[in-house]
Amino acid sequence: MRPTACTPALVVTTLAITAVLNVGAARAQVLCGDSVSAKVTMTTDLVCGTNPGFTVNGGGSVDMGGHRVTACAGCTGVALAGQGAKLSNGSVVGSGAGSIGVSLAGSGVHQVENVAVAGAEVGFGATSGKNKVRNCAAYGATTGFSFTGDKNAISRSHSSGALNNFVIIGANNNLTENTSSNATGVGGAGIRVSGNANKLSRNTSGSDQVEYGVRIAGNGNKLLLNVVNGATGGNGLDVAGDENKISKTTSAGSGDIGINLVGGLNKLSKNASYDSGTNGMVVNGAGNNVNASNSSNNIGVGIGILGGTANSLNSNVAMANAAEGILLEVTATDSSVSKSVALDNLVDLQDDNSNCDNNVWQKSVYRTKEAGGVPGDACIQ
Amino acid sequence: MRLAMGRFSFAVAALAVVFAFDISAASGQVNCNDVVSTKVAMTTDLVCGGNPGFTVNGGGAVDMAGYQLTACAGCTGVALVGQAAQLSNGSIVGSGAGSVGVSLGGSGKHQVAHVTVTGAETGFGGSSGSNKLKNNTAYGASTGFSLTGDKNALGRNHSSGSTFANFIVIGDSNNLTENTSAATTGAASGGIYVSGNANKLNRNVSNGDQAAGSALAVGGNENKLNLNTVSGSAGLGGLLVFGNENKLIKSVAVDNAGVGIGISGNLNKLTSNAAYDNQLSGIDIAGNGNSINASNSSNNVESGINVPSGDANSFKSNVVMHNTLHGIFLFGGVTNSSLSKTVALENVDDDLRDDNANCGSNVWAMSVFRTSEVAGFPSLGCIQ
Repeated sequence: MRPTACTPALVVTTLAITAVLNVGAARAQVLCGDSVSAKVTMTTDLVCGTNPGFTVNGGGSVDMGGHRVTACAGCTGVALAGQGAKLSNGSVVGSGAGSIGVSLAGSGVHQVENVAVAGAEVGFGATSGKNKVRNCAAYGATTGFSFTGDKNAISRSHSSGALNNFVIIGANNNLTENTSSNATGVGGAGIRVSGNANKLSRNTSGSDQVEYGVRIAGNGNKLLLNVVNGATGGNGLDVAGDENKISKTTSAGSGDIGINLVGGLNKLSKNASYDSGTNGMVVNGAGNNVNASNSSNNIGVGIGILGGTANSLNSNVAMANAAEGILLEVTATDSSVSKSVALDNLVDLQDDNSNCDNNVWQKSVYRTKEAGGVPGDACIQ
Repeated sequence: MRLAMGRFSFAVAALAVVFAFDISAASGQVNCNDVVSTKVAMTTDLVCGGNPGFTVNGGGAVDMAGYQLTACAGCTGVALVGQAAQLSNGSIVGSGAGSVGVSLGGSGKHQVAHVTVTGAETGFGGSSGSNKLKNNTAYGASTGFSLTGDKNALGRNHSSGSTFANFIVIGDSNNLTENTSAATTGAASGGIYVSGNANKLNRNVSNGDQAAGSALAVGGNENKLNLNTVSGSAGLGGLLVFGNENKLIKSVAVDNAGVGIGISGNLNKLTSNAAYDNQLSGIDIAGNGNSINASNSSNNVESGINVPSGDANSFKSNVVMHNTLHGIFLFGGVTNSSLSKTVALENVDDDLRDDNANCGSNVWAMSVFRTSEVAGFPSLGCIQ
């Protein structure tokens, strides 16, 4: 009898030792309603009636192991809470109004990698900062990725078919090599960023059918090597704000304006805009620089300054636009246009101010010009 | 009289001095049929009946200064001959079968910048090498840019609406950077077509090419493609590569009617590419010894990565999600492939599929997936 009474104690002790020694190994299954604080690997799919399906706390890590969480209607699939939670390698299926596939809340610094969300109203929703999201995908959402916070990093992720594929609100966020495609609906955007000092590099908006392919509102943002193709619903790249830097963007086949900028002290360098439904590049503001850019074969104006003072256009190329190659409207003053090459446009160079007013045109290559309604006005050089 | 003659002599001498010291200044007008060997700036439009309209010899430079040359039907507008002729800043209108806007012949090393060609059958054409073309455009041609030669450099040029191809570049060691192709029409063969070896294509963009062929096609060996984007094409494929030992890095193929990225050949390396929303497979591999790493292929109407044939291909760390057919699909007869660290989720049919009995000689390891099928058997253990 005594050995039997002792045996359970020995077994319990052995299990405890095992648990202590194996603390680094993922253990056991996640269950609906769980709040995970350790490293866990899922071993089966979950269909959860709880909201959220399960929670990963700060310091916790769930490897979904390829498994799926099906959330209840209007619920959140997986909630990341606290600081520094991790989620990877699985899929979340959501449904209904208010549903979120993966929520990134708490104090942020979460990591999400290799997760697909389908059906939820919001695929990935963050209300925190310093999160890292990589190789994730959202399909059929109203918003694929909706992030409000600072210093979030989203890379090589994809969303298609949403009203807004990516919505980023905050400062110092970094979007790299993400792809938005086939956004649909009224007033949406493929990629929408609102805030300051954000960086967008090598993102692609392809065939987004909404109001904007890429829409940036804020100051001090940097855009490099982004491509907006076939944004037939509206403007390709639309920027509102000051002191933004936009380099080597290509916008082709936009339904409206290829690159539209409203604001001041922005710098546009080496961008290209082709085959837009209206104007190729439009600037409205003060103190902007547009340099070394190409804008050709647009249904409207190649490069137009619609208003503002002290804008500078240098070494740009505008060819075969159905309207003016380079245009300064009557409200554009104190601007300089130099070293332009404008050919085969309806009017190559045009300044709507009488005798160019105090705009300075120099060293241009062109065939036709007009200033203040006067063809061939000598103020355009 | 002597004084008059003296003045004349002085004037001639003075002119000679001017020419001697001002050789860098463009002088005079170009006329139809001229053969230009110095630096000249046009001062008026030209309508030329001769073929070519005018010629620029090696060492000569014509600044068109914004003027336009209209060539005769079937003619060449401007011919660059010899070596290192230059043409810039103007427009050429051509017409008729056989017409060429700017021909780059002779020994090459020509430079063409800021020239636009409309109406010619070939916008910019030539059979020479080491030419540099920058910031030019061609519209409404049969072929916008057609160059046969080596070491040509095309940068920031644009062609749209061609009925055959916007860009055709045949040769070796050519460099295409930041060119844009759009809206080829009809039975056009392609948007951008490069044939040869050791060519480099960086940051080119094709949008809305309606070509029956491919929006961007490269045929040859050891070519390097970096950061090119192809979208909205209507033909067989977005980005197609035929040949061996080519490298594709960070290409993006979105919303094409055919395959997003197609490889036919051996020992090619694909790294960090992306293929989304294409109407056939995202990435299609046919050949041997190819490696496909860190690429994303998702939401395509067929499979994410489709391998109809081949031996000893390697697939590592790829992500394939939400494809309408399979995530990764190895056809029967595909051998000695290794697939590791794949993430394949939410693909409608199978996340991972191998049509070889017990995976044949293919090795699958460390995959993340939900569904698999091997030679008709679901969830057979050889797919890991």
